Amino acid sequence: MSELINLVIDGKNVQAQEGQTLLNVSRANDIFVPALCYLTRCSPTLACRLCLVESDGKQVYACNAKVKEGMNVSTSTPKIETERRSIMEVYDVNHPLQCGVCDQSGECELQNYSLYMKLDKQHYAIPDVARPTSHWGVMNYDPGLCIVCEKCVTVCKDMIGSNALSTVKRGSVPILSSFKESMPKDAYSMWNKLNKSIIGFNEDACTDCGECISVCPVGALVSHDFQYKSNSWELTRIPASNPHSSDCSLMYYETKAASMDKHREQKIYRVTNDHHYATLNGAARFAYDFENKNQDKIKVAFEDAITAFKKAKNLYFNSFITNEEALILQKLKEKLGFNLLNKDAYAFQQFLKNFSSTSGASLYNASLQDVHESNFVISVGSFLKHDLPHARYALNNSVIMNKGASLYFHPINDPIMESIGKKGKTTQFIYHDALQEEMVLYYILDTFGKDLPKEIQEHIDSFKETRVRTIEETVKETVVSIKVDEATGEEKEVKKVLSKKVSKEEEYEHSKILDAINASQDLSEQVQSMLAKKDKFSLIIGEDLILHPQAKTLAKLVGVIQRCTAFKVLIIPSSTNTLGVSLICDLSKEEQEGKSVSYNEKSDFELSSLGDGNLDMPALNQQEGTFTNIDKRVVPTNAALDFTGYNLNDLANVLLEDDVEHTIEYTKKLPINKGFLSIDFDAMNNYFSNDRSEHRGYVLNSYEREIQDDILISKNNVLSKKEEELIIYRANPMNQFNEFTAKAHESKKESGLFVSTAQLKKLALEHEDKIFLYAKDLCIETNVYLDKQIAGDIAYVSTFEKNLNTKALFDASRYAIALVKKA
Amino acid sequence: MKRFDLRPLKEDFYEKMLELMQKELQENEVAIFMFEIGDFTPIQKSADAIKEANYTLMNSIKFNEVDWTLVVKKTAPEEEIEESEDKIDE
Repeated sequence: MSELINLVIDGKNVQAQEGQTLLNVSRANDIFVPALCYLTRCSPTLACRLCLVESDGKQVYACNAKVKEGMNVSTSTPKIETERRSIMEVYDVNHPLQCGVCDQSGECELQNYSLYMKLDKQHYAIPDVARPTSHWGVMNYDPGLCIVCEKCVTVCKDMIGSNALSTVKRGSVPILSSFKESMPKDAYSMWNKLNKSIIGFNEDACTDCGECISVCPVGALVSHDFQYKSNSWELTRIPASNPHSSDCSLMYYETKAASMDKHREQKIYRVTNDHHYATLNGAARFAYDFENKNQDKIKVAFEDAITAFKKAKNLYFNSFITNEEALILQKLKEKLGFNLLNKDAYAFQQFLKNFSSTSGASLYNASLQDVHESNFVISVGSFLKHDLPHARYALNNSVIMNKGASLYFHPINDPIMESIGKKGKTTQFIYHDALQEEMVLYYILDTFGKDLPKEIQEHIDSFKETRVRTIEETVKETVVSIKVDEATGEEKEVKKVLSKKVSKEEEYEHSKILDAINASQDLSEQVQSMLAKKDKFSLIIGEDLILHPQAKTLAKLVGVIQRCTAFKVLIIPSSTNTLGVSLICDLSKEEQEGKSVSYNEKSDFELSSLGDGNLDMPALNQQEGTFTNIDKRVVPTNAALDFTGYNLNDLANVLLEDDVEHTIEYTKKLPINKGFLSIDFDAMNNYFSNDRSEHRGYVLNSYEREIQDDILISKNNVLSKKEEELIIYRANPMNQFNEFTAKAHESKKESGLFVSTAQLKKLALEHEDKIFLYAKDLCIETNVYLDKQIAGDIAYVSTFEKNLNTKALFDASRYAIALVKKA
Repeated sequence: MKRFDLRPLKEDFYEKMLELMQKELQENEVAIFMFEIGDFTPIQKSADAIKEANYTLMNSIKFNEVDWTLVVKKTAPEEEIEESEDKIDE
C-alpha cells in the first residue's frame, strides 16, 4: 500500500491514498459535498458542476481533482454557494410539477438539493419545447424530467459495458444572451449544454439490467412496470442478497400492501440497490415476485413427507437454497443415510478439490472486487454476460477505470462483449473451438507462468517450433549522383538519402497452442503491448471448465496458474449458492437404487418452493438465511414476504428429533473446518459504508493444502460434427437463471434454441419458428429465437424451464451436437 | 386565487379561459388554468392569448405527462422583455 497523504478539508485533518479524488475522500470522511452527476466507481462527467470546492484558493471540481499532500480545501464559500444555487435554479427551469405522481418523489435528488439549498426564487426562464416520452425495453424515459446529468450514460459505459445510452442533440429555444453576462459561469455552461441535450437509446446494445433506472436522480428513467404504482415513502425496504446468481449482490426488496382490499397481504413492488457500491443484474432487479403462494399447512402432506424422507435412498436438490438449508440436508443425510445429489455443486466441489491440490489453497484467491481493481483481466470458459453479468461488469469496469486490458476466451462470438475497451488495443476476443479450454490455460501458463512444474513446462514446450517469416524493413540508402551546373559546366556530387523497403527472412518461435485456440502470432504481440504498466492481474474461470470432460486436468492447471503466475483466480459458482452447498454437503456422484425425494427438482416426492410439488416450501424471498457468494463471503438475506406453511426446519425437527425454532439458528453451526465462522445470523451486517468498505456477513477462511502436481495431460478434445449439424451450448437467455426467474411476471418467457442472425439464415428459419431439436437420441419440440447479441455458428439452448427437458440434450459438458428441423 | 380545469375542452379552451378571466376574477386576482398539452401548440397559443388580452402570465409550465398549467394575474404586464432587442446566444 502506498503512503497516505495528509490534507485538510473544512478544517478537519484527513488522510487519503494517492490518486483518490477529493469527492471520494470527503465522502469517506463524512464531509458532505453536493454532486448530482458523480457515480462512485465510474469516471467523473463534470455535468452538474455542483461539487465545486476551493482548494488552496483555487476553484476545482471535487469529482475529478486528485488529493495532494498538504492541500487545504473548503467545500463551501459564498462564491461557491452562489454558483450552486444558480445551478439548482437552472435544473428547476421548466421541470414539470408532477412530484405528486412522479416515481422518484421522496427520493429525488432534484427535490432534495432544491430544498437543501433553500431555493425560494427562480431567476431564469426559457420557453419549453415538446419532448415526447419513450418506452425503452424495461424502462420509460421522460425527457421533460431529465436533467441530463449523464449518470445513466456513465453507468452503462463504465460499469455495465453495454454502451446503450448516449447524450444526443435536441431542438431548443436558445438561451437569452443576457443570462451569459448576468449568471454565474458554471451555471451558464451547464445550462447551455442541458438546453441542447437529451438521452438517446440503442436497443440492440441494451442488456436489460435496469442500472440506469437505479442511478437516475430524478424520475426521467423509471421502470416501465413500476411506474405510477407507488410513492417511494409508502414502501418498506428489506435488505437482502440477490437470490438468482452467485454475486449475491446487496439489494432491497420494497414492499407494501397488495391493494386496498388485500391490505393484510404484502407484495414486493420493486427491487432497488445502492448503486454507488453494488450493481444488480436484470434478474435481481426485475425477477422478484417468485414467492410460493401455496402456504397452507397441510398436515397430511407434511406426514407424507416424513414417510418419504424415511424411505428415501436419494435426495435431489439444486443450489438455489440457503447455507442453513444445505446444512439441514446434510444433517438429514447423516441421520437417514440417503445420497445427496446436486449435479452443479458436485462438479464445483470436485473442481475445487482438484484446484486445491495444485494451488495449495482450499479456495481460489480473488473476489469480484479484485477484478474491479485489476488492470489486466482474462476470462476463460464463461458466457460472461449471461452466466454472471456482475463478472462482466467488473471486467468492463477494470478496463475503463484502471486503463486496463482484457482477454476474453470463449467459443460464442459476442458483439456486446466486444464493445468493451478498444478491440485490438486494450481488449481482444479469442473465439476458440468448443472444449479447447485446456489449450487456453497452457497459453496463459506459457505467457505468464514462472517456475512451472516440469511436466507442464515440457508439455508447453512441445508445442513450440522455430518458424521463418518474411518481414519488410525500411532501410536508408545514400545515393550519389553527378549533377552538372548549367552555368559553369562544373560537375558536382549530390548525395541523397532514400528510404527503401526490403524483404527479409527472420526466424521466430511459434507455439502451436495459438493455432489450437484459433489465434495468430499477432495475439502474442498484442498481449505484450497490452501488458505495459500492468500490475494487477485477475483470471475469471467459467462453468465450461467445471463441466468439461477433462475438468480434473483443467482444475489442476487453474491451480497452477494461481500458484505460478501473478493472476488472482476467480472461479464462478454456477448457481447462487453453489459454493456454499459444495462446502457444506457430502455430495454423491451416483444415485442409490430406491425411492427418491427432492427439493425443487423432480422425484417421487417433491418439496417445492415453486408451488408445484407434494409439500410446499418457502421461496428465497420468503426466507431468512445466508448464501456463500462468489467472493467467498457469507452474506445474509431477509424474508420480504411471510410464509405460513411448513419449511425445511419443521421437517428436520421431526426427522432429527430436534427442537430448533428458526432455520437461522443453523447459521452459527455451519462447518468451521470448511472456513465458516460461528456467528449468529442476527449479528451479521449487510451494508456498505461511505468509504466503500463492505460490511456484509463475513469472509470464509481459506486453508493451506498439500501440493500434488499429478497433472494428467489430456488428449486434445475435439467436438466433431457433420455439415448439417450444429454445436449447441447450455446457457440461459439474458437475465434468466432458473425456474424462479422464469416465474416472475416481468421475465421474458422465451425458451428454446437461441441463434445468431447468420445462423438463423443458415437454418432457413424465422424468429419464433417451431422446431424439432435432436440430440443424444432425443427429440424436443421447441422454438427458435434470434439473439442479435451473439454472432457466429454456435447456438445456445435454455434450461431454466422445469418442464422442457432440454437439460437431457447434454451430457456433463455444456457443449453438444444437435440437428434442427422445422416443425 | 381561483383554479379552473379546462382539460375537458381539449384544444378549444382559449375562449373559455378568457371568459373566465373576465367574469370570474377580480382585478389583481390570480387564476390557475389546467389544459391538455395535445400537440404542444396550445403552449404558445395560450401565452399569446393572455398577452393579447393584456393580462400578466406569471408561469406556464408542464404539470404532468399530459397536462399543462398556466398562472395568470388579472392585471396588465409590468414590463415586457423584448426578445428581438436581445442578442440570442447560439
